[in-house]
Amino acid sequence: MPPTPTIQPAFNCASLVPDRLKAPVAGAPLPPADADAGQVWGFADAQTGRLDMANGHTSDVVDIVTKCEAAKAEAQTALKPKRKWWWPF
Amino acid sequence: MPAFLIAWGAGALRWGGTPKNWPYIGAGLVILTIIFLVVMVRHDGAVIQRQGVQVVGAKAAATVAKGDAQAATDAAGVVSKGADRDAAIQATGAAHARVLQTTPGHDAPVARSVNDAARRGLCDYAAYANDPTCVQLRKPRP
Repeated sequence: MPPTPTIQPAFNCASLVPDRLKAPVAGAPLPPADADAGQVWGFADAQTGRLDMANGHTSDVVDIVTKCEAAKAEAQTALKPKRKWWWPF
Repeated sequence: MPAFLIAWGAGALRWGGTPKNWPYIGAGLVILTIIFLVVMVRHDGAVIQRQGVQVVGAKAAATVAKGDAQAATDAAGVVSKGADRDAAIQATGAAHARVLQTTPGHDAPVARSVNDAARRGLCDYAAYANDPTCVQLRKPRP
């Protein structure tokens, strides 16, 4: 008897990632050419905020895909044919 | 051909009619019975497996749909928390900017040469490749 082919559940984890998280985070606006000390440090602060945002987006994408993969694995386990203990073949 | 079969059958009956051959006949019957049982069990197994596949097929859609819904709910939760985090980061940046603008000495000048060198450096990064001031910097001077 040929083995029953295993059909992968139709999960598409990448589709759960919204476009907002796929898009790159833009850098902070450059200070003017004659920027004073406050503007330069303001730029550094804003740029650090953008870095936090970008890192957060990466973390969110990993989180979404990890959770989706876990749900997928759970579904695959549930769908796996169970062998009856008394069945010899 | 029929004559051959009749002759063969008669020979077999005469052979089987001898008591000393009965153990061989019994052993043959046992082997045939075992083969028959194995064939039947395997056939039933195939039928049961086909039915099982149908049941799994029906349950699979529900299981996958449930998992899909769970994954979508999880993703929505992550996205919502992420949006809150981004808003908090922007609020923090705005608060810092207000502090900087009111701190004494914030308007201390930075040497133009330092500003220019810093800008040229930043313009080397992909993040500012399309910034208008960087595009202007890259233009060859007439």
